[in-house]
Amino acid sequence: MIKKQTSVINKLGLHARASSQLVQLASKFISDISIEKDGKLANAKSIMTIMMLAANKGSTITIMANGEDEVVAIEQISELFANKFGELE
Amino acid sequence: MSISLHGIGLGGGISIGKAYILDKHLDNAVLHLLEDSQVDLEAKRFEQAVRDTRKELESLRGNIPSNAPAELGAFLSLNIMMLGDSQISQAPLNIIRTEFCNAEWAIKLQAEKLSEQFDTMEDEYLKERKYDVIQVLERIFKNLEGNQFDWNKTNDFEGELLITYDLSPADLMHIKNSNFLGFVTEVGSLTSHTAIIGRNLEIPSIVGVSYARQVVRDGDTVIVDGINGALIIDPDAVVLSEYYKLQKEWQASKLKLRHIRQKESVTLDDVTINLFANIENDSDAIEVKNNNADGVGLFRSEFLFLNNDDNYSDEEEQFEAYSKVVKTLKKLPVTIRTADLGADKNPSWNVDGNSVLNPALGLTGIRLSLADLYLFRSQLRAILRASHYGNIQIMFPMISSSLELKQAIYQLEYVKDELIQEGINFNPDIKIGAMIEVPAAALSIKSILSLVDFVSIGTNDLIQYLLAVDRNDESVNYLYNPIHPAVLQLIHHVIRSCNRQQVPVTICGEMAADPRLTRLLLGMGLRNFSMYPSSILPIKKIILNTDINKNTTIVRKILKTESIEKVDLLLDELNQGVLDY
Repeated sequence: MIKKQTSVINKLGLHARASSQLVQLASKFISDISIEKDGKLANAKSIMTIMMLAANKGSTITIMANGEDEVVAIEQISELFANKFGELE
Repeated sequence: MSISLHGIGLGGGISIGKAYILDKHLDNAVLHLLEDSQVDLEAKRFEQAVRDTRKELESLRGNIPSNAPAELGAFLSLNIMMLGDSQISQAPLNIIRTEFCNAEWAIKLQAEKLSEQFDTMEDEYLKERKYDVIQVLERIFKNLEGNQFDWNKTNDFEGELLITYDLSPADLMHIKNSNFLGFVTEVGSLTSHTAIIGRNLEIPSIVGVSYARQVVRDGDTVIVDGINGALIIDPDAVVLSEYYKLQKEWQASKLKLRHIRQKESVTLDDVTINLFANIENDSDAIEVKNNNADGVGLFRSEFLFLNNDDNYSDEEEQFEAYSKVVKTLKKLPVTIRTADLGADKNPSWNVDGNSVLNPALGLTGIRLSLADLYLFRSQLRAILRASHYGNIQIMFPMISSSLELKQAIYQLEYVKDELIQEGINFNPDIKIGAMIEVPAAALSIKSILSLVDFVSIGTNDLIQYLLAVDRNDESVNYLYNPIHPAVLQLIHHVIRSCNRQQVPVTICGEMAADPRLTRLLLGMGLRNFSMYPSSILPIKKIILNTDINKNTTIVRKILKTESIEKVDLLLDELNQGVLDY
């Protein structure tokens, strides 16, 4: 299993659409992927648990992946966060 | 304990029965405990609803109109994704299995659980996402077998009262053919089309009862008092017996009115008054006979279109409907108003109709007809062809100037020529009339009178346009007032002008059916009234009790008055004794 810490930098945080992008991306990998925030763990393939994480702008989160494609998964997911989910601001 | 809620009663008497809530709210879900053996079935019922919801959402996503905001597709995709989440599609299943409860209850519990979690969030924006989640659960809820509403199956309801948010005029047509004992809506005002048609149904009904669906639970015993606009929930034995008594009294007074059915409607000073009926459907013709009306003063033909969900009412369908009415009514005159669609009466095929900003001032009535000549000519053909079989008159709605009227008449002449060439029979001297409901037409009535055989004043729209009050807007409709001096003066102007030119004039709006205004309108010179059939006998009763000549002075006073309050007082004086029954 590998982990990577990152932070939420897009304006609205992990809102509905950002969450759905995250879930869509995570679902492409075989690995188990989860997001941890303040000790709460969410399955990155479940839209509801991700939304429930309530990760707003500025929160620090940890991406965790476990499986054969874990390296690519972590890479692409952290890139999604870094790109502010494609939002303009 | 009994609770009562109030709204605007549409009459129809009193009915007592079980509540049936349409547009069920998750909040209304009731717990049913299941036997072990029922759990699997209930789980399947839930799974089916999830599948149906997915289909529904996918079909919505596949049919997004091109002018819809781009967000809509993304939003629907999000909904579909949520639907696939175990919190939405699995958790309620587990609840059904562990709590032995019905699917509705399980969905409600899960919605509450998720709501609580969202409520603890600090970020306001993320918190709001709760509603997206609840909406998906609501959708499953509505798709549960037994919760969908199929208007074609309304005959299954016996002794139930429908409680819902709103009903379109087309829905009301379904209610008419159903076995519902009455209905209650949360929105609506006295003069909304829903109310006007609702009153025609002569079943106990109330509109504008806010929060009804939240207070009433499915299956509660309720009393719908359409006379006083009261909805009584879970009445105790005393209240119940009181209402059974009232119900009997109401039916008895209705029977009493039957006695004057055969009487000529003549005033005490021997003036004959014509009482016509407003109808919407060929099947209403029987009510015209039942109330011994002098004919049909207003056939709202647009309802033939509104009942057609998928397409225009074609020429043949209309021809059959119109002929059926004239054949039923033999020689009696039948005034068919060409389709008055638009504004608050939009058929489902008129997709643009709901999106314009100011529909009442937009493409409605004759404007819509002139903009869609295919529709207009096929309607004119149907009316003309039916005119061969009885006494049909034709009337154009929403006329605002003599030019517009000439355009309509030109189309009528065009269609007449067409029929002559085809060798089809019709009455070449068919009488034509204009509906006076735009203040401009009322003020310039003289320019219109030279073009028509009769006019009819549509007071509902006339008042709305004159007072600049949208009668469907609950925030301003308290300003809608038929006894505003400007309204009375304008109507008087039209009646007087018509009488001078000897052009028959009728009032076919709500004012004609208001017993408080009967004496006043008679005093203003009105001799033709048209109203929903159920009002004819009550209005006739007043006519039989009125001496027009004796009221001259007070009517003159009312027409000179500048304040609503004074009109109000003078009306009380004018109506002394006549309304006490």
